[in-house]
Amino acid sequence: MKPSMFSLTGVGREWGPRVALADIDLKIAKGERVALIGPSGSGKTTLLRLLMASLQASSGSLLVNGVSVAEMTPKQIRSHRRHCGLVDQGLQVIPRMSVHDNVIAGRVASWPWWKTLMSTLIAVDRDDVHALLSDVGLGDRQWDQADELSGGQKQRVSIARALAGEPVLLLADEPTAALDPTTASEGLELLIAVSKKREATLIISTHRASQVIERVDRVLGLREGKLVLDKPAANTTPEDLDALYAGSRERA
Amino acid sequence: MSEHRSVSEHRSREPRRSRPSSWVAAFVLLTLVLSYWHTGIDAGALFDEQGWQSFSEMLGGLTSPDLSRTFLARIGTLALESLLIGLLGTAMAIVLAIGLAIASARLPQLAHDPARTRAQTFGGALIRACARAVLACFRAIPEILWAFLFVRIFGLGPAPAVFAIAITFSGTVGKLFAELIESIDPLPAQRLRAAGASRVAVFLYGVLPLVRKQWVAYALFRLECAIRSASILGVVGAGGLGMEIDLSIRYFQYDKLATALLAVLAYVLVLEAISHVLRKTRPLVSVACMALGALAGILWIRIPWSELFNPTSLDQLRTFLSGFSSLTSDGGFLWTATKLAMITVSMAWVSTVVAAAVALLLAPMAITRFTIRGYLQDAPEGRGLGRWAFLAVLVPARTSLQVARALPELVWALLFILWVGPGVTAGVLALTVHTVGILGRLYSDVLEETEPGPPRALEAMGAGPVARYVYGVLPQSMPRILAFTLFRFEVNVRAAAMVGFVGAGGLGDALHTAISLFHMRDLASLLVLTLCLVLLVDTIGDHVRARVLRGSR
Repeated sequence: MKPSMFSLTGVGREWGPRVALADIDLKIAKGERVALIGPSGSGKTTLLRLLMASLQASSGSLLVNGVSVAEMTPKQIRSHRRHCGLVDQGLQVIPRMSVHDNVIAGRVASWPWWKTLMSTLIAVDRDDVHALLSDVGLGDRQWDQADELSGGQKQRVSIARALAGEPVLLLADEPTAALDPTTASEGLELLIAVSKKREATLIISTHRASQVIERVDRVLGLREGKLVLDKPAANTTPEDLDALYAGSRERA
Repeated sequence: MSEHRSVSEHRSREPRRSRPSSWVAAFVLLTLVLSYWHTGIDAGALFDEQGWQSFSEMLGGLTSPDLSRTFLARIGTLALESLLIGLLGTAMAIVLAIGLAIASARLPQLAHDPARTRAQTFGGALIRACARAVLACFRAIPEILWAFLFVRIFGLGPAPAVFAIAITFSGTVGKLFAELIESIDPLPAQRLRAAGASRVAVFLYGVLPLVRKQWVAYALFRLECAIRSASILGVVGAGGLGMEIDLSIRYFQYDKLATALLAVLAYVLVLEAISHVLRKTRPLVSVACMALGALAGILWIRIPWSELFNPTSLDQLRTFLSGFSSLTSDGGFLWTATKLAMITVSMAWVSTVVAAAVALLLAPMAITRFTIRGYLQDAPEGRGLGRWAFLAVLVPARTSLQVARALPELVWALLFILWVGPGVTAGVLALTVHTVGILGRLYSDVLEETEPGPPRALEAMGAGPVARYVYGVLPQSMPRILAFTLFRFEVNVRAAAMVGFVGAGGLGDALHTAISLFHMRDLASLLVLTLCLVLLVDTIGDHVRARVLRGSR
């Protein structure tokens, strides 16, 4: 048994009267690749934000590597966040910056402030960024403006940015929502590949379950804020998915 | 191996190591150093023992302001006088501005109107050109100069300030009113023309309804500026709070100076609060307030209309105008004046650049999003004092921006003259401090309006304030920040000519001397030069700003 990276007991989160997550018990081990599925509004994003310590839990306890988030100092929280690489559908690229700067943005968190300032005047870490971009197949676009890229390319930039901070945990929030099926599946493939290469824990949240399941180790299913499915990917059956999505208008 | 080659191939196509931003930074730094050297600023004067002593005496006065009842009553009266000057001046400015705007704007015409003769077309163009020239003159010459000119005609008192504000503000208001007329939908006016309506009817029914709202909004915005400006014109003897500041500095009464300074500060803050409240009500309420205020102004400030037309002032006017007819006769003086104009531009540049740098630092500190809340909603705060330490940043940053902005350049100039003595150094310091306040406010507005996505994502990945600022917020707000800064530079060119009036170097010093000694010929040359300078900077600024903003889209 690998040591668990996350350990959640009875974790819940409310937004006013609305319950986004209730009573989640969960352990995620280092190096696991997990798919987090469920209809939209089932609490996937909320769970990811809790794991990244960018949202407070309303109840329960959340341990990261054995330390409770509620007990952490600001410094520890920031250090945990720095170990997370985020691929967010909401923000693929930072507009009005070059591809190079977009990738660098994933690394500035661990720099002292003077290095951050200097990096706006002199392009730093050019070879590192080039290597990262080559990994995602964009080696020749390093100095282009990020806004000029296609949707799929922008997503690759956001993957490269997530990797730039050398994360031990990769989180992808609906990484494929805005993409056509072929591009989406290439993107997922890439995420799996890079997380394997770096031995990083990977958590992909998506409401399109079918694309992901065969590529991960474990499937977590959320429905109306409750964890209703937790199985190794190999044992997950179409019936499980049907039960998860039953009554919702979306299909897996 | 193949990967290695691809890297080296890439290198050959790669742009130079330095980035565009570093070229801009190098350019700004170079021009800054050149201007600094050109103006001959003496930063060492800040540490001059004697200057420091008189300044600390002044600071000492601040700790014990004169709060005697008679003096407070005087200050209150002067503040009221300032307010009325601003209201009456703006009301007059608006009347003037409407006339000039109609004369200088092209009302919508019918294409190939057979009823329109060539003489009419030509005459219209001539009138427009003249009206525009008048607007440009009114706008380009700082109000303090107009105030001082009128002081020489009317003598001391609030009337000169009213005229100064009426003239300067009619220049800016008139220009914008005309621009608004020219940007309306021409169809309603054209229909009226086609139906044979007169010029007056076309204006009343085809133009006015379309621009009324924007006119009122802009006039009210300028009213606030005018009231603020009225608090300071007294330093050349034109009534209001400024008069007390000038007198108390002249007689070294620092306790009275302290009270006057605090009064200006309170005056500006109260004004801001009132306009904040009024902006939430209907514009009609504010217009009614302004009309009532102007009426009170007419009753309170007895404007000596007869003085305008008595033989002495007419005589002075004649000498003044005759100065223009013999402009270029003194080449040596013109050369000196040109050098002064260049120094004025350098002063404006140094202070704008330095102020922009300081404001870029202070603006994020004054925003709760950066210092306290963060971009993540309801994130775990972490335990310990770290969070509260930021309050110690927010409060001083906000206060210093507020004070820097509330006291006008001229007041800062007077204070710095106490410290470093009269001259360019005091002028640049004054401009810098005030510009920090203005730009800091503008920048923080821009920063608060930025798309929160990028900084939020960076914060979620553990980025600190500097990284969030530089990588998440600045890239998207840079075009607007640049545009604001350039605009402020244009304003500062005018302001640099203004601070000279109280002895802080540049063109203003020469203008002051010329008016004081009635050297009308010199004055005419200097005025023409100021006009050219301001118009030149404005034109260049308009083009550069349009490019900066266009490039952002």
